[in-house]
Amino acid sequence: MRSLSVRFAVMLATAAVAPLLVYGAVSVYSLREGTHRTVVDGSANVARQVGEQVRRYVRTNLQIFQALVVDLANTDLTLEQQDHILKNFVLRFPEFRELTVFDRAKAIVASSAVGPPRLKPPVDSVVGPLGVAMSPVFVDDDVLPTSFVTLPFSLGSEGDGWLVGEFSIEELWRMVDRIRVGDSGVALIVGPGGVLLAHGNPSQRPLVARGTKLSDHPVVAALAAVPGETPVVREFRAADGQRMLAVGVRVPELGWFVLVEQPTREAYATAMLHERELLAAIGLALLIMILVGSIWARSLIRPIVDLTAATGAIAEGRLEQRVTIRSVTELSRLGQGFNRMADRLVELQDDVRRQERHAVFGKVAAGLVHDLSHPFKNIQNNCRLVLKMHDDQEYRELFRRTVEREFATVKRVFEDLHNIVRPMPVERFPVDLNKLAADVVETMRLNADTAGLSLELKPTPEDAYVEGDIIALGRVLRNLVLNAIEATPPLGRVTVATDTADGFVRLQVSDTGCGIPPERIATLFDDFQTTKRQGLGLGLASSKKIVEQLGGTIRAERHVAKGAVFVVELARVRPPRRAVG
Amino acid sequence: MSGGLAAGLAAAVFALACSGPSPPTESDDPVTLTIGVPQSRQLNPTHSISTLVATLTDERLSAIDAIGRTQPRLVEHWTTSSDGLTWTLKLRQNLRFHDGSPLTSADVKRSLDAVMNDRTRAVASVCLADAESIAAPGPLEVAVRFSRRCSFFLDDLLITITRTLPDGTTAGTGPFVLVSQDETSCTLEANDRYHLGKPAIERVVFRSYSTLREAWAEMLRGSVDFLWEVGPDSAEFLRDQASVEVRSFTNYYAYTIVPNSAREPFSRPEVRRALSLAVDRAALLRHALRGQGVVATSPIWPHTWARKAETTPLPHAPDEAVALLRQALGRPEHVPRGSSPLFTFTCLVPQGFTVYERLALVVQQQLRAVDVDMRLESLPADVVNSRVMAEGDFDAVLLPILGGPSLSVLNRLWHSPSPSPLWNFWGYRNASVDAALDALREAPDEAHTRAAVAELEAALRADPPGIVLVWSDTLQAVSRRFIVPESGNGRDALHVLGAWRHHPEEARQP
Repeated sequence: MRSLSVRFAVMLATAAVAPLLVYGAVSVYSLREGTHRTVVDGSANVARQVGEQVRRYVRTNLQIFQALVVDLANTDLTLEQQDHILKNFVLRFPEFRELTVFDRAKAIVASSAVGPPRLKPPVDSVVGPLGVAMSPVFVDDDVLPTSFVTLPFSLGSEGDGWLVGEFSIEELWRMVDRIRVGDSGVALIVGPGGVLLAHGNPSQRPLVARGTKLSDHPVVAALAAVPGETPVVREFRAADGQRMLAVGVRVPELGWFVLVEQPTREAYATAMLHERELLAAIGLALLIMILVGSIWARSLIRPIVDLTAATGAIAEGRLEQRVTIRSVTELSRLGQGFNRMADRLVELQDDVRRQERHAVFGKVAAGLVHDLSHPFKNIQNNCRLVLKMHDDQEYRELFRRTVEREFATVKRVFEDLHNIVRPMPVERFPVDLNKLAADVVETMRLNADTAGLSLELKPTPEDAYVEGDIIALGRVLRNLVLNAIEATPPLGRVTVATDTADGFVRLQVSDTGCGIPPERIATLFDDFQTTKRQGLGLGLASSKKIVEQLGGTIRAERHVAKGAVFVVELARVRPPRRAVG
Repeated sequence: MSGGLAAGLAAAVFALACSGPSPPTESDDPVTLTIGVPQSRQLNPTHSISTLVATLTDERLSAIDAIGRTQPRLVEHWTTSSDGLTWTLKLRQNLRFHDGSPLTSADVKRSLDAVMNDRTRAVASVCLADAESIAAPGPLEVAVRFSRRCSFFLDDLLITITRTLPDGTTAGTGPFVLVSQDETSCTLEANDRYHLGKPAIERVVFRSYSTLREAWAEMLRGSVDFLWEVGPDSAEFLRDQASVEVRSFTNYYAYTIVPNSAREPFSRPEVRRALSLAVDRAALLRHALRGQGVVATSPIWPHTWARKAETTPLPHAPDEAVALLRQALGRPEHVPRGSSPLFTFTCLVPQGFTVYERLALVVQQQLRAVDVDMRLESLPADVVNSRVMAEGDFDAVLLPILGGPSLSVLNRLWHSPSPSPLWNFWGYRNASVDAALDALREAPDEAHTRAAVAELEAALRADPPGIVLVWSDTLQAVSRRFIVPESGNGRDALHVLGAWRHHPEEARQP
């Protein structure tokens, strides 16, 4: 029935589990893809916003710087007035820590500095937004991000000059400090040449102070390689071994990059949580489905299993076995039919047993009548004769032998019958089968003579000792010889022979009678089976039980034309040592 | 103390400090604290490595806690006679100099005698000038008899006790011993004989850095454990470092524009009061110091125990200032503001320091709003010192002026006549202030001291000696490898270095 369960499980898997798994796989894939897009879009939006804030911040300050130039240009202000304007300007706009005007010869014209100006005309500036030249951003001696900005202008009658400003871009750091994506996602600003300008993680700010270049950063490299506004997305392994998701955008006008970095573990944390929940739900559904399917399958298969077991029990003869099927289905009706069939079998078996008992009883009775009537008839006849011839000494002796013989026959019948019903215990002593055969042949010779047969003994010249009960074995041999005498027509011959081979002693009784029909061979040693027309047929059955009790075998060999041969084989033992003296 | 004076003294002390005795035996793996001292244009120039080294090597007779109270140090306790004229000092037992020789009352007497007899050093003491006798009746006992009561004597005990060794060097009694020095660093080791027990930090290395950026980078690399001072501009971005704790304490000096009282119109109290009213100190603190400090309400250190916790802020009243000035200067009231300056003066500004420049610019702008034209003259610090103290050639000067932590400093600065040309060189005189300072000097107990301080503060606010601006905070960065005790809260952590503990679980940053 296991195959039925397996088939049922396969049916369940095909019908429900497989679709559920497919659904789960599709859902997980969709969830991952959707989350990836959402996270990337979110980070890109953050990066764009930061970039726009940076652009506006720088542009606004450069516009302020430009406005100062407008105030100073072509106005022919006195040096004191210019100085005053510059000092006021740095107080109003603290992003500009110092402002100094240089003339064409790069000499200082005016400055916001109280003492000697620190600023010098820059040499490495590149023109940025609004035509203002900006030097590369650097971290100054006071650990603040700074850039020198320069704009040429006309000093009026003094000729051309430059306004140079020390532009403190601290707000850049504040901007990235304010950006947090998740718990640890931060923003970075990268300047020209991949120089790190700002890092949202304060502990990484020393990288800014050292002027670290991020040219090898995968996002920076990609942004530098491909111009355009499209965000660049990369996943990579950071120096600390952590997998990171980085999204970068270009800051318009400035040529800077804004990067938003977040550990992938954190970026996809929600998706992973939902994925785990989904997998758990699918797993739970699977479990419930398997559990329910199993319970259901059990309820369906159990009656079949019960029926199978009950059928097996009936086949083994346990006709009391019944099945109980509670469901109201065809299986229930099948169970009821099975039970009715079993009931009927019991009735039939009882009938058969009754008939068998009657048959056996009849057979036993007939056999007893047959086997006992002749001895009793002989005794009865001899008793009548002895009344007339009691004076005859010779007859009395004959009478005595006849009575003894017939009673021996009766006794043997009873012993066989008793042995069939309750086998007698056998003793085990070394028995010389040659001697036993000689004794039996001698005692049965009168029977053979009476039947007009010749009874021959062919003993083996070797020792033919077996371990056995001499009385029981004598009874076996007498039965075989008597059967042979009875089955052999006058002038026939009955031979008793012994032989040894392969550790056995073989005792063989053969005759020249009518032989054994082939169909009788198989049941020859069963109880109440006989080749004779009448009689109990217990001799061979009793003989077989005795031989088997002694560990030997007995068989009949088919010689229909030449008569029958019965062979008894018993284990050969050493002859007992004779007592000395 | 002026920047020039501080720089001069610092150089001298550094030279003395870095010429200490031979080093003691080193242990295999000593707990070492490296202190970075940046020379930044953001910072006040009055500190140098030498003064910091002296803080650790030379123990004082007494010490000042976070609220300015005097605490016993080499002196275990003191008593005064019933008339308040005799002070008896009891020294701790088993005090020893770095060379192992015992410190006795004779050493203390010798030091006090030197202060009393040396006119230059006497400027550091208020009371010893009135000492009748200094005696050492026992090996651990010193008795000082005064001709007049002087409550500032405990402040006078802030002097260090040192012994000159045969090789000409000096030995102190502080928690650390100077063992080596070169041009940019000094190395100190823990003093096994320190009377409060050997410090947990076994070695201290001072290193000088030309910029704050350089010092900060070294700290983040793990080469520096304690940045003695970081500037206000950087504080915002340095505070949030995980491996570093940024601490702060209010300095004992206030940035002050001190006018020359010998020159007109600053001899007039109304003018000084009007200038004080014209200044918006909150804006100054915000713009010049980025909020890293306390708005000044008087020249008295705001955290001193003897002062009321809540003091009315000095008002920012430009209209009242203009009215006062016009009245004091005899200018007609109907002239519209902004037409012409009421008067012009030049303020000397030490050159090269951002804080001074910003303060000067903001004050200049604010005074311009009350028609006062303050011109700025940026000069090197030594030139400023020379102009101010030696020549008296100045209208006004922007300086950090001490206001604590001890109260005796107020007496030295604002009492007239000045005991020394190094103090009150601007010629400030006010009878009410003198009376209040006298009452403070003779105060027999804390109640009288508090009353005298309140009286002094009221007198200084009524006749301000200058434009007291703001008390700046000093910010210090300490690696989390070290634990600063609570006694270091609100004060220079260096002053409690002997009690620092090492945090072995915090590893150095790579």
